[in-house]
Amino acid sequence: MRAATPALRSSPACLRRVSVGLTRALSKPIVQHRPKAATTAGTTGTDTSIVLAVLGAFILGFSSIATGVNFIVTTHTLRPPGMGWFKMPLFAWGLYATAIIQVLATPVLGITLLLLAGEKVLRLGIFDPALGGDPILFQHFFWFYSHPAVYIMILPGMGVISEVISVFSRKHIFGYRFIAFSSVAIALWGFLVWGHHMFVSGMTPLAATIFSALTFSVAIPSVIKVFNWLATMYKGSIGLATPMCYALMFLFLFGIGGLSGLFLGTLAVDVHVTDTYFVVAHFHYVMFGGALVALLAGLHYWWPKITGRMYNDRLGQLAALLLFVGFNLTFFPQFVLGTRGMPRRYYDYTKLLERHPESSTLHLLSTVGAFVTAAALVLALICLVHSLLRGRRAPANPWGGATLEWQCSSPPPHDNFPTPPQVGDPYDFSGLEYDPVLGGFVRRGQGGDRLGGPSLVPSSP
Amino acid sequence: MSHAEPLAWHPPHLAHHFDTPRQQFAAGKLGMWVFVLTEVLFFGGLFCAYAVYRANHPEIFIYAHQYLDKSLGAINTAVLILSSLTMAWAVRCAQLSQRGGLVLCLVLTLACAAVFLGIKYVEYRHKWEEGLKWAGAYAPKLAREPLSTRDASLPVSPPSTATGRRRGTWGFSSASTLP
Repeated sequence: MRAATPALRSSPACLRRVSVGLTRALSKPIVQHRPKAATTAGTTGTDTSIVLAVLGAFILGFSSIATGVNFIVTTHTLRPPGMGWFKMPLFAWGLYATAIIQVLATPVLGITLLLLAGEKVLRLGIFDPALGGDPILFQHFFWFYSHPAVYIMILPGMGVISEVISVFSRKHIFGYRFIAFSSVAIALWGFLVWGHHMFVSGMTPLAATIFSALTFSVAIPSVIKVFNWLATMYKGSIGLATPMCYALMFLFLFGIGGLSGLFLGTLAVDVHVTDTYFVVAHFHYVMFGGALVALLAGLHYWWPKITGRMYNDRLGQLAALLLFVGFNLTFFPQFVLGTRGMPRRYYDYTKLLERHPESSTLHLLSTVGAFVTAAALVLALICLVHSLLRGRRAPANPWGGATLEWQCSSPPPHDNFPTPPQVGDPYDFSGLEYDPVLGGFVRRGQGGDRLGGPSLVPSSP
Repeated sequence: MSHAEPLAWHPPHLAHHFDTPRQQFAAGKLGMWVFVLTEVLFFGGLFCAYAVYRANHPEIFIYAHQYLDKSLGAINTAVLILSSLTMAWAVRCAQLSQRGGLVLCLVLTLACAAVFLGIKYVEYRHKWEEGLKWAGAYAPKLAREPLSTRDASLPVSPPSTATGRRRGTWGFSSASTLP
């Protein structure tokens, strides 16, 4: 941030003032989810930087809404001929559920940000108690958006995992409809649990109990998915290519993350671990071990399709393994630290370690793990960049996927398909065989397809 | 949903990613309905904030309503509803290819909009001159009586928001679960 300022010195003063305001605004948390009278309202008139950042987030919110509208409409009206709802890839179901949340949750964030800006500029007492506002209302509004927002992050990831696990187990996905409907169930049910972020903010015991029960029940659709993925792998012919390594890592880490969420949904335990490292560990097991690892799985799965280049699989596996070690080393000790009372936000670790020297080992492990995690991510980046420079050309279907994108060449040509592709079962791998010359999979009885052109012949035998 | 064969001749108003005008119309219509749904959520948040504010500070609303002009407000409500009718009628005329009716309805709608804005100008100008602005610039000139003599028993000075704040009137905000 600071480095950018000298470059702006020659620009007009007003521009500089705007940019400095933005820099200052962005160095604060943009949406502060625990409003305090002194920080949300400010005591010295209007805080321009906050207003600018809030309006920026408002505009971003509308781009998110537009994306959600686009995906819903595309799914409804632009599926290719022959693709019914239950012939869609599960990734598309995941994106559809995500779009529902974007459309329903983001407007509430939008109005919250507008009211916050209005409070700043016009001094209306909406959230700030010093002006007669209600800070609890801000927390309700904030979490009504921000709890569904974590499902916005995880649902596409769950869609990726459904694809990868089926393809690398060479087995039809188990429980297609259950996985598809559980995505939609998460999208809708996820709107009823925001109160579990506010158990200690001030809430009637009845409301807290209802939110706790709803929180437990929202775990069910996620568990349905996990069991269906495990059942898909059962007796499958599992290949441990890099995307599958990340998918298996997702199962393990998301499992721990989800189960630790049950601790937090329990009212009495939540009071004990609120605002401790336990919450930090839980959040990272779900969002890093879940959403980010799923993103890496998807990136490595579709990388050959996106770029037309194969990466070094050994290097990718090594990065995945290193990430697994580094991640657990970073965040598992934080579960232990959290249950022992380590606060979530801390600023003077020297004093902390003087007072509690027994916690230094776990803090050290966590710090070392953070560096290992960073090294693993750098290694994964090196692996992918190397493939762009030196990787061999990717065949149309390197992993043997049965969804439509593997029917066109890698990377896809302009307009994707010269003629509309044949829609079949997205998880029927029976006709696909590995061709060692091509380095990829072809449909049985298509020896003439070795030049890597799109295989558009109907797959039904 | 219909998947007709792609047209050989591409109409100029048909976007490249659609096969047929019918598909494009279906997509646009669904998109507009979904967008209207987002607006429901958007204004739902606003009404929620209004309801909470009103529950926490009923005295402010009782005080402020003395300064509203009921007849101007009633006229504007009627104008708004009438313009909704003429706009919907205009859409119907367009569907039936009735050009004259369409033009008439649109002109009436625009006229209603002008009347609405004119009345709003009168109302807001009055508020502005009286110093009845938003919270940050609130400086009322209280020398005059409230508009409605029937409510003359009500307080003439504005209640203070900071002292008049009442907690616990809203179910969620009671802090009784805290140890």
